[in-house]
Amino acid sequence: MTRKISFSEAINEAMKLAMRKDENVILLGEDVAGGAAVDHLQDDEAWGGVMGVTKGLVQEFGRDRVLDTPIAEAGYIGASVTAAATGLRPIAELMFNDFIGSCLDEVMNQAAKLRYMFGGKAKVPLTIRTMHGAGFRAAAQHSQSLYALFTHIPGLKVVIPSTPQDAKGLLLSSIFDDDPVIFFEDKTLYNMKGEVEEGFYTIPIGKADIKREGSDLTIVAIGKQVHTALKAANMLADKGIEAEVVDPRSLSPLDEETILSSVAKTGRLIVIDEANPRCSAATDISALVADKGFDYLDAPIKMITAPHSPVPFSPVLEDLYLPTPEKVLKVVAEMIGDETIVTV
Amino acid sequence: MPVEIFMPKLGMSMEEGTIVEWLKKKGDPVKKGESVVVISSDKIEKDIEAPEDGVLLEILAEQDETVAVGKVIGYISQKNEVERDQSTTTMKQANLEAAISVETMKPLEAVRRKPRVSPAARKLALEAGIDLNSISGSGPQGRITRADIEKAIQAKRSGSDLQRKKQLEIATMQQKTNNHTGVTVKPITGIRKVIATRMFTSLQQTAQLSIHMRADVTELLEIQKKVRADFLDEHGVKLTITDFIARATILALLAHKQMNSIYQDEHIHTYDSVHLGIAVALENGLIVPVISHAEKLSVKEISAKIKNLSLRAKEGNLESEEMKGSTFTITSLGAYGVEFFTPVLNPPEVGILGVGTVTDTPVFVGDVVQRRSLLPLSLTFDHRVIDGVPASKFLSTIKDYLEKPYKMLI
Repeated sequence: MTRKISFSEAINEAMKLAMRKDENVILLGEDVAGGAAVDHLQDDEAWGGVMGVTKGLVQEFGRDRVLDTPIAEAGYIGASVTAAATGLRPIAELMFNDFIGSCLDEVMNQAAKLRYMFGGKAKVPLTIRTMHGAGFRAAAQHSQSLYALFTHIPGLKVVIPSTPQDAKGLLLSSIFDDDPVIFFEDKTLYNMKGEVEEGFYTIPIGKADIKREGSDLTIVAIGKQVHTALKAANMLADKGIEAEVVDPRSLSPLDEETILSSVAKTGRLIVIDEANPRCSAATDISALVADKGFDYLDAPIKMITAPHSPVPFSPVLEDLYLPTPEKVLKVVAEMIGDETIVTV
Repeated sequence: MPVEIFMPKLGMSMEEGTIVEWLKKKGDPVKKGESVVVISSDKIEKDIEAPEDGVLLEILAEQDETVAVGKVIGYISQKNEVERDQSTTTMKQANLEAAISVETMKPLEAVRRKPRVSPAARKLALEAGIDLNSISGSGPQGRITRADIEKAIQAKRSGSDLQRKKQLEIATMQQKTNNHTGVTVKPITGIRKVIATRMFTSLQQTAQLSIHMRADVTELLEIQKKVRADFLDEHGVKLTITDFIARATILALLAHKQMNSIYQDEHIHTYDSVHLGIAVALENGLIVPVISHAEKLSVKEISAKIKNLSLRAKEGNLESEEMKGSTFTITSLGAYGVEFFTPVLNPPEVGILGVGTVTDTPVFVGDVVQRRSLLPLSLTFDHRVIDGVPASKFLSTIKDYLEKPYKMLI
């Protein structure tokens, strides 16, 4: 059975189900409950996170398992790594992925390394949920998409869902995974509604999803950009071009097979990634296909990304900064040498 | 006044050409002699140069467009001109031909830019044995795409379906003649088909006959023996009797110009220059590379040229321009012990000289019998153009040069 719920409700539901299933699952972060140490806020009317994603959890599971932390990322992320290494399954909420600078050592040098350095005897079943993405008028320090940074580090899993259904299933997989997982939530997707299965289910990490089938062109899109790709695909379909939209869902591990077999079918690849272009998921996926799928290619690989600049605060510029379906159409027109695609 | 850029005629058979690439954009300044556009016929690709200094005013045929020979494909104007004069659009044949003769033509392989090919297309072409140079790309900037190769494979397949049908016919034929075992039936294809057609046409459509003569080459052989070693050291070329025969023939042709003719369209075209064909036997046939303007070459140069052409003919590396336009041919069976034979004319030429094997023979020199080396010569000529006496005189002249070799050197 499915019903329509929002992206944030799906994530909330996943955490609730995980915490019911396993008492070792705890949640900690800035304002995840809200009102800690403030007398009149100790009870019902908690914040439930800056975006309300964790709303209601403290009421069900109490302040022992839903912990408001000080605004000190190194402190609570470090505590989460240690908790994970010593038997709990913490879900840490790093409010914005932009804050990783304050606690990267804990993630990069501790969480990611312990299992390797202890010959597999130690494990760090930690999930760090974090917000990313531009288009929220949140300026340069709260709008980045830094998943490539984590993808570069072996020992971390990197998950980026694009739909409520995927978000729930992937978050449950992440929480019960014995390795540290960085779980990216696009802040502009929280209100997006979609059909989501009821009850407990998981979606395996490392399995891409073909969001739309097509024969002429493969578009690999990351996170929210899956929807840009789908819109572009519908516009292209009107022109007789069938685009296949592949959602990798996780960048580490990356489902190379699904991407390569899609390009083998279509012969053309566009990667849409709203992150900055250098050393990005887009370049990584492009390099993968150039390396292992060269003979499939019938046109140069194209990347549609943000420019190599911080996210602008000006709404006009921020809109220009992001990939759009129109940009996709323009690139497709160049790719196949048919300018009529862009003309309405 | 704007000056036209025409689609030129790059060969007898060319009727239309394709714009490969405009090297200049509309509005770009151009210098006289600067390459403006690349065009291709089915045989060659070449740069077309600006006929005048000016500005590329207009492009009338875009990239990949195919237009008829002689059609205007663009205009160049003097810098101040903006409008083109409609009256200039009529083709000026004289200009066109002058333009063609000025431009040097290069064979296709030499100048063709590497075609843009997508990796998928390249791989598929390799697997299917498709020559990428035979495909025109439909992608951006003429890139050859997978779809282009798939189309070519389709075309090839329907072609090979035809071939299969033929093979089936042959098989049926073989079954019919099954009683005669040991018979191999092969269809006539490729170079064999060309030879078959040409030789049959030659014998069917000309009035050819052969006359024979012996030349005493005793002295010539002595000269050749004397200089051979020095010649090889000095010029790196092995001097053979054939080189002298070629030189003697060239000189005789200059003296008897009607033999240096071709018969075409009810007209006799007589040439001032000798373009000498040399028949070269290949494993599967016969080919006639041509030494153009052979009268300008010394024995040494002829020798080098013949060796170079035969070698490349055997390797299959001749350019198509090197097999065209001969006015007379020499063919030799001397190496196989043949003395006299009746060479078949290589139309539209009107004469062909057959060279036999040198034989030492007792000959009366005055009252004394001497051992002399005799070279059998066979001349086939087209009686429509040349009668018996002038043909005999021509052959006598060759004989004379060969018997008095010093005459060739003066």
